Amino acid sequence: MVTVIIPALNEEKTIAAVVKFSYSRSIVNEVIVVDDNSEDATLLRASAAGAKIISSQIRGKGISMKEGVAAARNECIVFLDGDIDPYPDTTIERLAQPILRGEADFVKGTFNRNAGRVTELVAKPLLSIFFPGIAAFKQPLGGMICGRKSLLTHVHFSNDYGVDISLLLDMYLMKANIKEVDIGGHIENKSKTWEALGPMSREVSKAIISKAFPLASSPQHISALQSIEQINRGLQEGLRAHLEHRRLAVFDMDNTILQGHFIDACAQRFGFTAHLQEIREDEKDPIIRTKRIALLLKNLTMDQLLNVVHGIEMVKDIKQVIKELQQRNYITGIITHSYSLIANYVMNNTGMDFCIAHQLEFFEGKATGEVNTPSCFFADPGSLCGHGFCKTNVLQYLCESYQVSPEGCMAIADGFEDRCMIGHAGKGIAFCTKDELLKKIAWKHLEEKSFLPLVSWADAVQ
Amino acid sequence: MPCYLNINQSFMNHQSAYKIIVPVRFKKSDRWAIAKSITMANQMQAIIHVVYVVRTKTIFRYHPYQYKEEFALAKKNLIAIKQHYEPQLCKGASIEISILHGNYLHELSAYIKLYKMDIMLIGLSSQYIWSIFRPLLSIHRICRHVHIPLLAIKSNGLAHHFKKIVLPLYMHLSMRQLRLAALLARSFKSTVYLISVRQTGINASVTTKLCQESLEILQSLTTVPVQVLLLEGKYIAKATMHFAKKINADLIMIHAAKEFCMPGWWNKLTNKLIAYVSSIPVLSLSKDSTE
Repeated sequence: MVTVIIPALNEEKTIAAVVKFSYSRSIVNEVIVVDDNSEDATLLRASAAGAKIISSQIRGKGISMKEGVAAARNECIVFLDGDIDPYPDTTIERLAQPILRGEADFVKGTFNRNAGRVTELVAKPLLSIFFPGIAAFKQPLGGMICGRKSLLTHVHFSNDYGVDISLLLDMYLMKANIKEVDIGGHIENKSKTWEALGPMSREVSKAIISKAFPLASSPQHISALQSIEQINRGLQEGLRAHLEHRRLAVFDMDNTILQGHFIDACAQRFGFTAHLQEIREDEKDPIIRTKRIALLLKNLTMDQLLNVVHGIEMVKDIKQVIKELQQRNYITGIITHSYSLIANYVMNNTGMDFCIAHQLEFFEGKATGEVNTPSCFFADPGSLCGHGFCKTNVLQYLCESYQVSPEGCMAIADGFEDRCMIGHAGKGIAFCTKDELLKKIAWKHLEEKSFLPLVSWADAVQ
Repeated sequence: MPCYLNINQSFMNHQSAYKIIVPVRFKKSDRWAIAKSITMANQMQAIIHVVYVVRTKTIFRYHPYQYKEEFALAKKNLIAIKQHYEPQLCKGASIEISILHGNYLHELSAYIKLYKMDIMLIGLSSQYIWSIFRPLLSIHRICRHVHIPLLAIKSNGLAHHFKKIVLPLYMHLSMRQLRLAALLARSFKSTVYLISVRQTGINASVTTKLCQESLEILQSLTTVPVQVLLLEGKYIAKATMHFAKKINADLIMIHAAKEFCMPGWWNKLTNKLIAYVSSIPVLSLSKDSTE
């Protein structure tokens, strides 16, 4: 006959069902619930379902298991988790039969579940180095086990996440006959939280290494540490490559994506070229200049403005390049001193992800001449460049928003006022510029009106 | 087999922070480099990586226990360093310790590449002669391998700020150097002094243009105060030293190239860069990787 031991902590919802399920199997004549000082009704529910109750004095699964083994009447002991409901019908039989038939001394149960992160990333690599004989076990950290009482009384039950693997390793080191059986069916197992993964990894690896090195310092120790470090390095590199995949590509709009300057085209269409030129020459403050230029657009309708931008050609391969960059995990967008109405039009026509531009105000479909500048254009104390009003501040804001380092940015622009942004981006690219200094500041310079070379340079950005 | 044993890993939490590497040899001069790195880390909210390289020695093949001992001793010393300096760090800055095993320069450069270090700090012995006999400590050689800025500190170069940064210009424009100057000057609210030596003939216009362009680029990149000066003299290294002393500068930024070696055939032969003679900290960049 079989004793079922269920270590339980705050499992009032499922414990009664697990006890009843255990008693429903003909080979079970004893069910012991070892309560780990639960704060809910676990104890009452288990007792009501007919289980023998042991209240553990010290919290921890290892201690509970040990106390359960000590109290068991049968030689064959099955351990079940108290939080799984329902179990596949034949779980207990499949776990116990190899022992009852004398084919095994210790049985580990496996079932269909989502791959355990600590199992795959920590336990299995370590087992393959130190205990290749049990590296093939599918779920070495699984808690559904069955063993002989005579053996279980001689092993040490650690009181942390390492208990299940310790038990397996002790059995292996005692040369017990170990078997892994599939209990069938799919069991929804609660995944550990991210916070729990750190301690769990530490305790599992500690359990494996302590079993591998009973005499802590040996010449093999260093060599094994090196092996672990190699694995760790590979893992870190892999993780980093995955986590750092996001990169940013920002484009200037006027004379870069558009083969012309929107406000110049507007000036030509609506006849304020001279006035515009005058503002550009007189006004040195970029914020006031932006506001004065916006006033020139007063009373123009949205349609009129959109017609102007519609008349300006875009660089032919922009859509294709944006698509390629996005396939390479780039977030693409526009930073411009033009207006959001126009930048949105360009963004939508090129398939980009965002645009940052000045907000031109409209009332009843007509521009009021007022303009609002997004706060990200302005410097804060942590600003990279310190310029009060600069595209670099926007770039910095985007880097923080998208969690991309400045080295992971590609900036493409043409003008004298873009020098700062080009200088601070990881890879600044000057596009058909007449500014010689911008060419010197930039990492690369595009002479032709084509963005295609960006695709081949995209992978150079870290 | 090379080994990277990182005793306290928390890199994944600090993806965007600046990273300072301080290779140590457990000598007196290490203290100057670590002390300076603490100042910089507090200022820039950086992570300091104190690294020791257990070098591959033939003797380890025959006496593996000796390697183990060196390894254990290094670990103990590094933990002591961490415990000693950690309380001096402000919020946002942190200190990590690592032991590498293998060829000194190869392991350092691999580590720098792997963890994307931004700057390396080393403490220099006050006696230059030691660096000739210890070629591993040659700034010229380290710069060639590691490709990141290398700040050499002497015992008397422990000013807790970089208020005056001297950037000597010679023959070509280095964007990397200018960017770094802009970054440091912005962080430490410094004044950058762009200096060059007055030359005659064709070189005169080249020097003037170089100074003008550098000034314009610095002003484009940041708002820090910049001064441009053309100095009298034949040698840029000597003129730089003289000028830096005169204005009581806090940092000199140079290329680890022959032009910035002290004058004299012996100095050129032994690559005696300004860093070895200057009491002011000197930041060197490899010339190969300037762009």
